[in-house]
Amino acid sequence: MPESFLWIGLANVFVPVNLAAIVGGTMIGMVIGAMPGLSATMAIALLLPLTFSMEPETGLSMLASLYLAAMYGGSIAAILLRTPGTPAAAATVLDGFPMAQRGEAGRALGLSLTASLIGGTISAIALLTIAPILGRIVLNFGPIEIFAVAVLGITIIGSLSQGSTILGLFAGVLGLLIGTVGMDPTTGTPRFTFGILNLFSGVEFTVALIGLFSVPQAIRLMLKSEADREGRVSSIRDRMLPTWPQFRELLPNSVRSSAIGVLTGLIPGTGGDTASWFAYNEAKRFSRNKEAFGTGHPAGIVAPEAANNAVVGGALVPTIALGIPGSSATAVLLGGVMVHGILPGPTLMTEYGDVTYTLLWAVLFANVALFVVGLFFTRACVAVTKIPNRVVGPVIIVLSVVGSFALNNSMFDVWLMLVFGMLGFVFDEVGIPTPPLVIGLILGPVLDTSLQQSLLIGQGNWLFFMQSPIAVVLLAIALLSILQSTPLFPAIGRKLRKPREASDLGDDLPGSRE
Amino acid sequence: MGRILVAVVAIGVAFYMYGQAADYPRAARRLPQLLSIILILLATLAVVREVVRLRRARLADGAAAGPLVTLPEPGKVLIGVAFVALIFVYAWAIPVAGYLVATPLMLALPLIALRPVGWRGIGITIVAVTGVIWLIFIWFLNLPVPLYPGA
Repeated sequence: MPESFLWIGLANVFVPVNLAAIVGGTMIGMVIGAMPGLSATMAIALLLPLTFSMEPETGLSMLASLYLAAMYGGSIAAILLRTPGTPAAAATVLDGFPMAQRGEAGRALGLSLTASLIGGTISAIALLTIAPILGRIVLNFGPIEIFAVAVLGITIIGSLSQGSTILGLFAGVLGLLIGTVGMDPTTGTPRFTFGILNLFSGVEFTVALIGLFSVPQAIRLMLKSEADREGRVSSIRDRMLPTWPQFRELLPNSVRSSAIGVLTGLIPGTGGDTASWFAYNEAKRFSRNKEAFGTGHPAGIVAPEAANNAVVGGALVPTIALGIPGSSATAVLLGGVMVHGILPGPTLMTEYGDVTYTLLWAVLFANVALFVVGLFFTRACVAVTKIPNRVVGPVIIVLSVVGSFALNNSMFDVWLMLVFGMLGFVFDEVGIPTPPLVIGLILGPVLDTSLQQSLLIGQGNWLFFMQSPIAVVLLAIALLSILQSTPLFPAIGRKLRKPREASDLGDDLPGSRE
Repeated sequence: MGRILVAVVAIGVAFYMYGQAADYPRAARRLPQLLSIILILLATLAVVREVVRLRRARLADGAAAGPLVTLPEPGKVLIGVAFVALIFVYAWAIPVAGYLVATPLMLALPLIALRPVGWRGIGITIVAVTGVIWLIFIWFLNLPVPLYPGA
């Protein structure tokens, strides 16, 4: 069956409307990514309502292309303005901007585009290979294992998120708690609805996403001054495409950085920013010309750009195979799936296999579209980087309000979106990470349903979870992921080392064997 | 300090949700109550951590320690508060005044007040944004947004 879905997905991608969606998503993603301060996550969240009226495969192809293109778009602002368009492009600034200042802005952007193509293609192939295999394994999972996967997802994302583990877990658990609002899946009891009918079906996840990722961003843009754009490069005059010898030279670095990107993406809680810094450091470590890094060295552009585009495929593996998003961007993408009434989880690869496989192929073809569109439209994107922040801020708000209204034609959703927007802004200001909150919102209903089903099967016995070896291993990893980031873990390590050191010393003492 | 405030509010919310859930059937209250307890624990830990961090910072800085809360520039606070108020007024105004009145005003007020672009830029932005969103969402997707006052 999965083989047939594979071909159905490939055929779907070539439907003209889906191809148009891929090209359209690529262009929008590039433009939004090029605007400093606007992230891929926000772009997907804002465009979600637009895909509501499309066929699921068309809408998802568009969102996936947008995600990928925004990663490259981020490098345009990084190279020309010294301001990364997306957090994932921060490492590109180090060598991209000096190269552009030397009058080689075209070369820098061409290197970024080529590296993005290599990284994106490798990650798409990895996605097409790993996701179906993992999906087949997950098909054997029952409610106990799904519960354990959900617990693992939230603990890993909480403990790996920026800032402290406590705050990451705090945000994740708050998301899970908000996820319990609405009708209870077993008894049908309305929970925390306060008699509001709109809340009976739960907190609309997409509405929360738009609020959490768009409103804080719009407010921040209004507060930012434009002074930091001094010394920007305002035109591209040189050739973009690298020559064949240049391409051959950048290939090993691109492949290594792509592998780093895919592996980083596979780990929930890490994203393009982590991968790009990791790849940059590795490129520097492997280079014979270490001192050239930071002065406009091609390898310093290729490494982060290949890695951040390779993250896309890696991050989509747990999202598609397990229904557990590895990052905020994939969480929003999963929201795109849910908008069409498709439930995340193991059924994504079976019941909705045609849609899922179309998405997998779309990620691969979006890389080709990005390369072509990038070659023709990067020069046009230079104009986008000149749009002041304070023009973009109000536009985001108008799009957020209209977009959240479009989901259910309800003003209640607009107010709910604004409440989440304010919550997101407060969290950002005090340094509490929002991605675990979003992922908690997705996993809340999954956790609730699987817990209740498990306890029904186990007749209320909590030790029932210990009967599945897979669940035990997953829950043990979840516990370890929490413990490793607490002061308890190093303390245990020290304690374990001490007796060994003492016994090692003791071996040398006379009479110690007695 | 902000983190402490958020954590304290979260503790209050978690206690309230725990109490509310007590009235639900056993299966319906199980997860919300469990999560409320975990949230209270995590929020308490966050408060303790933040207090310890602030204390250490104060001890390290000694007499030269600054205030616990650093306020942003008054100008920025004013812009932020005014913009947030404008967002809420915009959401309220759409069903009352209609999209074609509320949206140009939402865009015009901050652009005129802060002048990030010239008058021509302001005009183009208002017409282009209002027009494109109308074209996509209202004309193409048939979104039932009231367009004029009383519509």
